[in-house]
Amino acid sequence: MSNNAQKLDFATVIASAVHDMKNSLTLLLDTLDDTADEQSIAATPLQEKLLQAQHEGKRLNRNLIQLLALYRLERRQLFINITENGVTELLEDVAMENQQLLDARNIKLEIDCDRGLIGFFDRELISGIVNTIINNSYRYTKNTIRLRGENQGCYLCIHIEDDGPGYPEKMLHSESNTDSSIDFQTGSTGLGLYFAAQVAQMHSNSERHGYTETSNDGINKGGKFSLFLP
Amino acid sequence: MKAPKLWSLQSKSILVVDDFPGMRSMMRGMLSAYGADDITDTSNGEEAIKRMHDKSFDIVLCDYNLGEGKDGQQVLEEAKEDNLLSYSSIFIMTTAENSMEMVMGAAEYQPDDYLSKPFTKQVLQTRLKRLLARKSSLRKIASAMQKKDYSHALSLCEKQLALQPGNRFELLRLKGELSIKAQHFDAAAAAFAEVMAERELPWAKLGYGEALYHRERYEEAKNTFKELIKSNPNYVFAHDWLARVYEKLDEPEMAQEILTEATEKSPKAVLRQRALAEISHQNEDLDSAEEAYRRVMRLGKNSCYKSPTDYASLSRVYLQKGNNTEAVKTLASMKKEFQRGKSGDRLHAIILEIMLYKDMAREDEARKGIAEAMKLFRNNPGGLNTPLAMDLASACYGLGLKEEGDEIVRHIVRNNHEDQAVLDGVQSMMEDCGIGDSAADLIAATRDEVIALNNRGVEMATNGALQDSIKLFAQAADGMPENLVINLNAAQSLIMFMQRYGAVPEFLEQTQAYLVRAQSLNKPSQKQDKLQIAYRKLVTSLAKA
Repeated sequence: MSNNAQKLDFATVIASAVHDMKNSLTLLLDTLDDTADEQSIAATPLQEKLLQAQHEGKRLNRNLIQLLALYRLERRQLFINITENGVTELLEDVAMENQQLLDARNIKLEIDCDRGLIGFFDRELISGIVNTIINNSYRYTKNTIRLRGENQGCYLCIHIEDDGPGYPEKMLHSESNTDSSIDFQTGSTGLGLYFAAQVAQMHSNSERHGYTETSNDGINKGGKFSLFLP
Repeated sequence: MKAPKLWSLQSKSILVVDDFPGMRSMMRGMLSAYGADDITDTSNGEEAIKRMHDKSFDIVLCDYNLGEGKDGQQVLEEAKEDNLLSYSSIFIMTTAENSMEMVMGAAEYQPDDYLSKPFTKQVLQTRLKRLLARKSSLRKIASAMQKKDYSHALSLCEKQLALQPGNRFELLRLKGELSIKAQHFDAAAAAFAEVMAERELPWAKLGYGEALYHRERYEEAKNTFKELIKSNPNYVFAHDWLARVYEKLDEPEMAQEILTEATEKSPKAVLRQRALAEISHQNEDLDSAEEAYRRVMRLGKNSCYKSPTDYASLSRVYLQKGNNTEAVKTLASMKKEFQRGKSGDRLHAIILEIMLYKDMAREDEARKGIAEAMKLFRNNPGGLNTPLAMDLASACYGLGLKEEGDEIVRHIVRNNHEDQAVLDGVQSMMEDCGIGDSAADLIAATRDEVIALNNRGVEMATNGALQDSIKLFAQAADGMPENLVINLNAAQSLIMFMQRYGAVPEFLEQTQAYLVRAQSLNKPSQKQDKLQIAYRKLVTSLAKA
């Protein structure tokens, strides 16, 4: 091609690097998945370590996705693809992905949602968010994580509740003060929340936009993250 | 509750396409874990297409990024265009990139699902389970669509909708799309409007606008697409349709502007680039046309949409710019690209070349081309379609080759003996070439030949000589594949035979081929609908026997 020499397009560089990294991650996670699944190491400390490694691998992957998505968002290149989705199916999918890890730490994952509940959202982005939040909860909860889906007025709400110590004061936010209170410099939790708020905001339906809330109304005053989608 | 059946991929034929060997063996492992025992894998798009020609697959898992050669989207497009994927098979695009970009890049076809890397065994299983269940719930509709029997597919769709199913939106979408195919535009608009009443989903609004367009309500269509673009600026399909509307409204400059915008957002889609090239050419914006045609050629390199027309058009652009050197160069590369292609493509390329040489007043080269074209045509008359034949005939007459011209005109008339618009076109083409006097006689004589032939076949059938009639029409249809009446009568004689002596698979297959061909001519007729119904009955009778 003639324009190869012109300039290095950073977006292309990122895209091809990510392509490579994701191939590696896929293989890494699959190997960990298979090894951790071996009967001979069931319920041993080794299995727990492997699951932990897998958990870190998934976190790495999610951070990669978020980073790329935020980069695109800034350049106004992040598009969302809103489709009709079963909410229970979405929650079940995410639950299944995390089952092994949660089982290893004896954390119970509950789903509370009407089977027929339908929502309109970008499936990939929203399941990514629920995944991220579950992983935050995993680090702080005692025994239980609960996924709840319901309709509230003109919004579909997805709540992720745990029975841990709750969010620290400076991470609490609600619809009215979304931007100011999300501080993504507090590490990956902050980045995850910031990303979630941005994605929620991109979901709109006749003038209404989505938003997120964090509170300590979870199980036994544990953390509660809520996603509101119009 | 029923006891859950064990879910397995056993006896499902699966194709895995990925350029990364580690990924292929991983996928094999994941699929085998769920009982898959018929897995083929390959590292590139060209191989994938070959495999799909050899065998039909139930599930194709194809990576988007395949290195050199075809990418995943091009594999999908070619598979669909060449009918390598049945409506009930599943095509999943695996990808490390953001899938939305691929959705944007797509023009004609989209995969059944995107699966982003990395994914686990469980995720793959859930997706496959869901897709297989979905396909199986639409099985009957899919099989009717496969046979291009859209009215039957529609009535099946209605029946399922009446049951208030969970996948109502999906069925409404299908109903809308099928209604457009069956040219029931009011029904299409109603189906899409029903979705929009609940939720303004982009595809529903697009479909609604498309229905307005077909009903020639261009102003309303324009507003619909404009609104859609305003709320979803990156939904390029809306741009495509808005451009079409502007063309109908005789605002080609606006059409070019919209398509320029769309190609900036989705630079990889060949058909979109071609539309831009054509409209720029029409607007005599030669610089833009040149650029766009060059992009079409570059992008089309591995694509099934590669066509000699693009080369010829670019050559014409150069001619208009006064750059004869580049024009001839482009023609040479066209010849090189297509010399080993399908005979239809070769013929196409030669005819385009003849016309350009004629315009350049290089008669010797043009004559040489005609000799070559006639040879190809005589070897395979079915390969020459009507619009190209018109160009060839006019070139022959223009160079004083009356005999060759007449031969081609007879071919055109045979294929269209009842289509007055085409016959009028032939008449005026011959008038333009200064031989209008002989036109009427030539057309009438050829038409009478076809009518006589057709009558003979019909008479055989009514007299009970069904096998003779089948033979006569089969032969006739080979030579005039675009002739609607002949194709329908070929189907009818087969149907009459089977109604009398019972259905046989071989004859059913032939009947279907004629009906599909008739359908693709896009000239709906009552006779065709009746034959479809009779054909369907025979299929059921065979299934019951």
